[in-house]
Amino acid sequence: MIVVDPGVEGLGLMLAELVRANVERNPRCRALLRAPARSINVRAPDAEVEVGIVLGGGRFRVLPAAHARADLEVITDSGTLMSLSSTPLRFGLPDLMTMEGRAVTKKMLTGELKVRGIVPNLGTLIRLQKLLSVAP
Amino acid sequence: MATFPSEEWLVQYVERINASKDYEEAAATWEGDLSYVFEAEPDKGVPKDVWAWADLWHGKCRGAKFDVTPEEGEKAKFIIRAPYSRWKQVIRRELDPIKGMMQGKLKLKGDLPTIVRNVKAANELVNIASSVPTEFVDER
Repeated sequence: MIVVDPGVEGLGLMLAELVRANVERNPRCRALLRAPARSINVRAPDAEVEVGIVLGGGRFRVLPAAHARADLEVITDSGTLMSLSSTPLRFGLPDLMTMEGRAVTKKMLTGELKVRGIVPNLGTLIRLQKLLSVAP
Repeated sequence: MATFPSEEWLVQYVERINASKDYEEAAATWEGDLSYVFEAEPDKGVPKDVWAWADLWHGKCRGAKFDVTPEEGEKAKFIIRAPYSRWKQVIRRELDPIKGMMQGKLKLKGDLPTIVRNVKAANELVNIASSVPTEFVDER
């Protein structure tokens, strides 16, 4: 279900661990893995790290390198990437009723947080956010 | 000035943790002990892995021990480990701990969601470590 390819370190292991913890604590998260598989890249240029993910088809698979072409790509600094997991969600997206949710939305509007491919892959983004969320 | 790593350095670190209002606020809900592992670098004056343990509870440090055995240190709820020179970079604020974890330079064992929820507290611990007047063992 959670697959970590050989060579994955740091960020990739962290993402896999967050998903594993969520799936263990909340079995309903398993349903988020059932949609058709989509490719995702997560990049934190300030830390010079990037990983590829395949989400769907019953799995969350982390690859040691980014996909050459991904359906969805999340690019932001390492601090923002970390804060995304603790941002409260509403319908799977940052909750604008909270300070943290507004901060993330502002970063999207100012380009500090880029999400490429969001329009055709909004459902994938929502599933990813829910799987990585540690917000209370 | 305390040498890092040493018991004297750990004592000063704990004193500063317990004096920090910022940490007390950021770690108000934190419950769990933490082992730091300063991995050996014999050419830099650290001939063996050094384990330091801190009992962190609701914004305070209730106790700490320097040079505990790995068996004792492994019992902690969280373990963070890196070679000595990486810790030196963290204390000197040349390496951000979040970036360090993402780059695989700092390795964490324990419940990651708890760390992510308390990232501000983790950053405060680094700020406090940076504030201890430090002489590094390889620079004496």
